[in-house]
Amino acid sequence: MEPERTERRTLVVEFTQKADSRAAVLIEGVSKWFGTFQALDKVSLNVAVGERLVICGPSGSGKSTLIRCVNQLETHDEGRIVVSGAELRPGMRGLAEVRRDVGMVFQQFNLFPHLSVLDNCTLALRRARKIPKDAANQIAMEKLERVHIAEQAKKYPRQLSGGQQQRVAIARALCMKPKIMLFDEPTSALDPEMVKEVLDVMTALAKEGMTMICVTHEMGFAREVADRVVFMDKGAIIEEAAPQKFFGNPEHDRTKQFLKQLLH
Amino acid sequence: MSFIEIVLGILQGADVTAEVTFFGLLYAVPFAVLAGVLQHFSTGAARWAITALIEFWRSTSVIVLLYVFYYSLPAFGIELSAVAVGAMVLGLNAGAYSSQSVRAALQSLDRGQCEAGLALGLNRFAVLRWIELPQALRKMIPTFVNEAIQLIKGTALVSLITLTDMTFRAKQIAQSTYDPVAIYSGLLLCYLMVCYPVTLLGRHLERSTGKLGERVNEL
Repeated sequence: MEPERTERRTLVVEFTQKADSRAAVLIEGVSKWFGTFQALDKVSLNVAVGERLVICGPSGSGKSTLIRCVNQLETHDEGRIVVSGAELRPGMRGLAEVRRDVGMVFQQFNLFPHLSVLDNCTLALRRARKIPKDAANQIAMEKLERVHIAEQAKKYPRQLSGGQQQRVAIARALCMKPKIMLFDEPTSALDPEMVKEVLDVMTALAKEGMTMICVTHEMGFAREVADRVVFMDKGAIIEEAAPQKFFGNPEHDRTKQFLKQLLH
Repeated sequence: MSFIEIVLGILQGADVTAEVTFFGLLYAVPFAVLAGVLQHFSTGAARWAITALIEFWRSTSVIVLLYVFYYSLPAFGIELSAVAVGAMVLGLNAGAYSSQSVRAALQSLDRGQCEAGLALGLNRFAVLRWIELPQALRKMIPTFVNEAIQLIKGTALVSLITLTDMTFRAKQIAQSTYDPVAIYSGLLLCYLMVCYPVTLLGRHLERSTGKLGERVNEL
C-alpha cells in the first residue's frame, strides 16, 4: 500500500502544477489533530471547477472534518489548502471573503430560528455583501423559487418540515452566488420520505454545473451525479474513482467491505 | 390621617422611585449585555479584568456602595447627585447579575448557529450582532423583567441617601403621625401596586416571546 500512495501523491503534485488556476479546491498533504486523535492524515485532493465530488466513508473517517477545513470551520495543522486561488491559513485576513464564495449546507440545517425564511436568505447578502433590502429580497426569492419553496418565504424555520428546512438552507447558501458548494451529510438528519426532495434539488444544481463536494451516504445520488467518488477511512483517502468503477469494481478490501455494509 | 391620605402621601415619592428605576435600567441593560458578551469572548487577562468588574458590582452590598459613592467620593472632589449615585449603584448591581444570564444564554446557543453565519461569510461581530445576540436576548426577557422588579424594590434604599422616594415619604409621614402600622402597610401596598403590573407585563412577554422576538428581529 505504501508505494502506491507515494505514487499517487506525485501524480497529484503534477496535476496541481498544471491545473493550479483551474482548480476550485486544492488540498495538499493536509493533517489535522483533535488533541491526540489524528482526524486527517496527509490528505491530498483536488477538485476542478465544475466537478462533482462525493466523499463517503464510515463515521469518524474524517470526511466531515475535511470539507469543514475547506471553509476553515476547522483549521488544518499541516499542509496546504487553496480555494479559488487563495491559500487558507489560520487567522488569515480576508477569510470571510473566501467563505462568501463557498456555500455550505449542514446536516442539522442550522437555519436561524429567529428569522423568517426570507431573512435567513438575505442576512448575509445585506450584512456581508451590503446589498440593499429590495435587491437582496429579489435574489432570495429567485433562489427560493429554484428550490421550490418560495411560497413559504414569510414563515419561520420551525414551521417547516425537515426537508423544506434543508431546501431553504440550500437556497440561503446559493444567495451568495458561491463558486463551490459543500454538503455535509445534508440528508442524514431527514426522515426517509424527505430525502428525495433534497436530493432532487442537489441533482438539479449539479446538472447546472455547480462545483460540489458532497459528504453523503446516498449512493444513488453518487452514482447519478458524481464525477468522482472518494472513500475515506481513519483520516486518509483509501480510494478514489469514477462512480462506475467505484461501485462496480472497487480496488480495496476496506472499500468493498464498506459498500457491502451500505448496500446490505 | 386616613389610610387613603397616607397612600397618596407616599405616592408623592413615586416619581423619584420611577426616576431612579429608569436611569438604573439605563445602566443595567447596556452593562449586562456588554459585560456578558465580553466575558463570553475574552480570555486570559481580559477575562480576568471583566470578571473582576462584574464581581465588584455583584458581590458587594448595595447599601454600602450607596454610602461609599455618595458620602466618600466628595472627599476626593467627585460630587454626584443622589439620583446619579442611586441609579448607578442599583443599575450596575442589577446589570452585573444579568450579565451572567447573558453569558449563559450565549453559551447555550447551538454552535451550528455561529458556524452557519461564518460559513456565509459574515465576520465574527456580524454573527454576534445578527445571529447570536437576538436569540440570546430573547431567551433572557424573563430574567430581565425579574431584574427590573428587583431594581424597583431596591430603590427603597435610596431613601438612605436623602432622596424623597416612596420609602422616604413613608418615613416622613411616620414622623409626623406616629401611625406605623397604617403607614408601612400603605408603603407595602404602594410597592405592590408598582411592581405587580411589571410582573404581569413580564408574564405577558414570556408568553409572547416568540411573537415579540419576531417583531424585534425583523431585519
